[in-house]
Amino acid sequence: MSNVVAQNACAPIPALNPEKWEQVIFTEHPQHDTMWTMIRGHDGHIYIGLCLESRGGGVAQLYKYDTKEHRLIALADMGEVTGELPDSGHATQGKIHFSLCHARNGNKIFGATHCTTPPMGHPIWSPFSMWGDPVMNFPGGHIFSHDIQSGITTDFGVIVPNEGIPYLMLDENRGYLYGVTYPRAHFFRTDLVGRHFKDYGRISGMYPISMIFDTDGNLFTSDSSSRLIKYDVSQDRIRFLGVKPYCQPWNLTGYASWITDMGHGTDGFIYGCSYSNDHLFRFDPKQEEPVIEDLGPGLEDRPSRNLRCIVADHKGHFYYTANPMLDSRANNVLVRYNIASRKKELIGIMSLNGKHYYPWRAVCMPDNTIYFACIHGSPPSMLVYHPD
Amino acid sequence: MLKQEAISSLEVPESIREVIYRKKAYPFVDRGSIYGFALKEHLVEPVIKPNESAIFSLLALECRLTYGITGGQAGHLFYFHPAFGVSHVGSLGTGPVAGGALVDIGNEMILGGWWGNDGGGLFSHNTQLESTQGMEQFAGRVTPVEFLTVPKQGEGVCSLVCDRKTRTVYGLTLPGHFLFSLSLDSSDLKPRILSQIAGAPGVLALMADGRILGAYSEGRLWSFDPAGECLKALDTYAPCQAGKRYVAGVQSLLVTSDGQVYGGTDVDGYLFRYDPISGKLINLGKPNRQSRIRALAEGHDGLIYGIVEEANSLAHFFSFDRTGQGFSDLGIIGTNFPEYWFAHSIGSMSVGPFGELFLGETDVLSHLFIYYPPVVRSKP
Repeated sequence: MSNVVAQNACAPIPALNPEKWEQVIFTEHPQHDTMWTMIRGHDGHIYIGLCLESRGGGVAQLYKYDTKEHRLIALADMGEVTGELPDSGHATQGKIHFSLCHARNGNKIFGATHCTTPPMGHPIWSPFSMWGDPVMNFPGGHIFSHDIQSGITTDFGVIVPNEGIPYLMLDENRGYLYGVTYPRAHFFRTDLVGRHFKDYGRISGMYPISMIFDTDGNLFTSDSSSRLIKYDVSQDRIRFLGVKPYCQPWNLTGYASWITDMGHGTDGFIYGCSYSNDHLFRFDPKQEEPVIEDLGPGLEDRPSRNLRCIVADHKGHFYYTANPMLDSRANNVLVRYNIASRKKELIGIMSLNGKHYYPWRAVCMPDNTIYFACIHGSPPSMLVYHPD
Repeated sequence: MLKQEAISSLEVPESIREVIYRKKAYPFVDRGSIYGFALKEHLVEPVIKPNESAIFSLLALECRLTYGITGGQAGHLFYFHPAFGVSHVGSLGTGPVAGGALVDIGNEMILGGWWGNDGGGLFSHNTQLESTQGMEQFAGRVTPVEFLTVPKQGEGVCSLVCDRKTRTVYGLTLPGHFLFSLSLDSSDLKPRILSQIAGAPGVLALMADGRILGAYSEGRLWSFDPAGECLKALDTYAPCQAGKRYVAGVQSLLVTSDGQVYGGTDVDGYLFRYDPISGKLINLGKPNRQSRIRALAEGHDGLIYGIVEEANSLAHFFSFDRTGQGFSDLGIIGTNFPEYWFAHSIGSMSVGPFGELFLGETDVLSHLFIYYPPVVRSKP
């Protein structure tokens, strides 16, 4: 039963089918432990931000997974790119969080560095405690670009001193990058070389962990209580919409329940899920005051939480993960949601060859192969799913 | 001794890291108890919107109500009731509000003022109805604000003190820096300009002998003697680091129960004490690295509480023990209940009737915090 979740009278959920799954291990950086960002490049390859959170002096790596040759290629070391080496004494440039973006009509990837990796020799690092400390602070997240053709990574410097950049979004049409800072959770905008910075102020208790553009270039995100926030591009301002997705009767305030991930449905709706309340939802971004429609629990037959990792395939489905074991890193369940029929199908526990996986982001290729970026594991690895 | 390389590869189990985080790296206030409340009014659609909620002034009254002035793109007067939470009392002005002041003038009346892009205003407010609410009443009642004549056209109010003995309120205006008085016994409550004090920061202190203490732009103190209506530049300066006199200033003033005046600077973040009798000023040092002491209050436990914060930073709450223990950094204001929120910026403080401290956040989405200092252990 080690790979099977059985709770109350619910049917057990099988582990992943090894015939349809494979793992890709980052053998060149075996001490790294986390991947928060993964994108599908317009060149057909996968780009990944590989983080080292748990060891002092860790430095993030930009990686490419060549989907044709099936191999990992280390593209850039963020310590070298930023000039902040592992022994700087400061909290290091240890993470590339939800920040990789690929330019459609160019050959560039944009990204940002993020904090919480301790300085070398330190067992931990507290961003609030070390704020402004001249020796042990985080100097600040950098925005960078990587040229796919030349392989050159360009550093645009620190954007906000002391603050990491956990999220970055690219609006290529308008030539802007939008992001949020940590720990102060300020929404900002820069141009594509990290200049003309504009601070829109604080938008949440803790930083948002999901952002999505609509087709008009408006950006939707949430605060840490699931409340929907819209950056209105035509008015160039933040709108706190005041609506939030379904909350459990025992958590009506949406406490600690960020919207964890959102994706575009083929029906024009934006689909999403949240951290502490286990329902899927959708809304129509065209509505001036969006009404959020509840799509029911993430797992129909058992309670769960921490829904995340939404990714649409090209057959009218969304995939997402849910965790039926509260506060457990194991037993994440992959679910397939049929947009037309609204049926949810359990694919399996995210466990392969006896190892549990904790995915946070996923991308789907044109052939419906899905790549999952996982956290909490050394050596780090991603999972590849071949559904058919 | 371990080599640096060996240290860098040291792996610390997560369970141990969590213990270190909790016991040795917890940055939030954990001495005493603290609660945070959003400025969402009770049982009604909130009037105080994001960008209008920065709490520039707080006034905790004996009746257990705490009044506050918010600002940003618009200004509001609200009160916090221990049972009903926040109630909106009225809107202040029509444009952006950048600051304000409140003072208890007795007889269940308060006086308030604000300043901003459209000048500002002055008002009185009767708190009687709002303070006499009880069982089987489920929404906060509100008495309308009564707006008064401004001290001078185009001027707003940034600081107020009240001398109950002479029944006179003194105030400062911005942007013109006018000192004014207002007799509470006058029928029209019309302010009177006393002097213009160029560059005076928006702080006033009423000393025990009835004189008003304030500051000039470079940290030099002045006093105003109401008896002779005499403004006097004192030969006393708020402290600053060498070479910073031209940008030095005073950010906060507090008269304590022993008659001393405590002040905080807005450059370098020094706390100082001014003795009104001897005229001596002592630099008490800095609570932490930051450079502005934005608010001060005297706790019922005898401690001086304060907020030190500089722009685009994280405010720290601190205490100063006058009996010799000096400064203690109490941490960052953060709560999990009822709101999950960490304050980055705190601009106002006021002490309630039971020694609880009310703290007002000054941000886009601002909250009211209540800090309960620990009860002193009386038994071994």
